[in-house]
Amino acid sequence: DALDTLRTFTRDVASGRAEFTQTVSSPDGAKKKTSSGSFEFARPDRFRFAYAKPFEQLIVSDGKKVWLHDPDLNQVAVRPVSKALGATPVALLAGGAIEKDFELAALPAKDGLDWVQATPKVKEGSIQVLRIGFQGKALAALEIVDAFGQRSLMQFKDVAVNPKIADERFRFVVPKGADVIEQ
Amino acid sequence: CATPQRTAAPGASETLSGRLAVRVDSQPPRNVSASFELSGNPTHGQLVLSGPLGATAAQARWAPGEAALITSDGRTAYPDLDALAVDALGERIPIAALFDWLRGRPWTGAKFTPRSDNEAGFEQLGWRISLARWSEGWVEARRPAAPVVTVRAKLEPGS
Repeated sequence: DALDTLRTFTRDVASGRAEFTQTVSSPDGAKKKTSSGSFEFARPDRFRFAYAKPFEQLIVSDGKKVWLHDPDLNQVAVRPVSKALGATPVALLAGGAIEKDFELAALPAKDGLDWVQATPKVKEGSIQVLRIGFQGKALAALEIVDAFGQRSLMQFKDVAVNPKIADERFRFVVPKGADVIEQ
Repeated sequence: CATPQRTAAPGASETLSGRLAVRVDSQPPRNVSASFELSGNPTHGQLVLSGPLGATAAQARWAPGEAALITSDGRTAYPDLDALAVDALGERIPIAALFDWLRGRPWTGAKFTPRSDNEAGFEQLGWRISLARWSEGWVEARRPAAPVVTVRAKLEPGS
C-alpha cells in the first residue's frame, strides 16, 4: 500500500528533482494563493526550494545549515538544519529517518493518488499534519495542514529520480550587502 | 428585493498582502520577516504572517478594547494592538500610522513634513518613510532614534 511506497521511496530515492505548483487555501477555502518553482533534494537533509512566482525566494540546505534568501527584502535568514527541519514537509521528502520524526499511516486513495498521512511526533512550529501522495511509485503531491487549518497543496511534475545533482546546488553564498539574520 | 449590502465597518479597507521585514536594532536584535496579509483597519482587523513554505506562523486579531496573538503555541490576549506590538517587537510602533504608511500615504492623525533628504516620502511621528521605490510596491519606514527600528514591505500588485 502507500506506506510501502513511501518506505521504498525513502530507501531507494537518494536524490530527486521536480517542478512544483503550490496552492495555499484559507481554512474556509475562500482565498487561494498559488506559487510555483523547482525543488531538488539529496538525502539526508540537503535540498533546494527555488520559488519563482509570485515572488522569488530560495531555501537551501547543505545538511547542516538552512538559508532562506528573500531577494525582495534583501535578507538571508540562517538556522541550523536541526532547528529548521524537524516536522517540516521537507523532512518528510528529504529526511534521513522519517519514522523518527513522524507517525505514518496509509490513507485511502483519493484524486487518483495513494496517500500516506504523516503526523509529527514532536509538535514544533505550526505543522499539524502532512499527507504525501504517490502516483504508482512516483512522488506526486504533498499536502500541508497547519495548526490554523490552512491547507497547502504542493503538486509535483517532471519528477526526476536519483539524478546526478552537483554539490553546489545545495550550497548558498550570501550576496554582498544582504541583511543576514542568524536564528 | 434588494440584496442586503454588506456594510463595511467605518474606515474598513481591502486586504494588503506581500512580504514584510521588521528589524529592531536592540540587544539582542529582533527580526520578523514573513509573508503577510493585513485586513481591516487600526480599530478592527487581522494580520496573518506565514512562513516560507506557506504554513501560517502567526495571526494577530484586534477589535475595540481587545487584541490577540495566536501562534501554534496558543493564544495571548492584549488590551490593544499597540500592547501586542510592544510585546512582539520590544518597541512601541505607531500601528495606526503604519496602516497608512503601508499604503504610501501619511497618517491623518498627525502632521508630517517632507523628507529632509528630499527623497520621495515624508517624515511623521519621528519616523522617516521612503517611497522612492513605491512604483515597484516598496515602502520602508525607519525610526532613527535608538534602538533603530526598520519596517520594510514589498506589496503584492493588486493588493
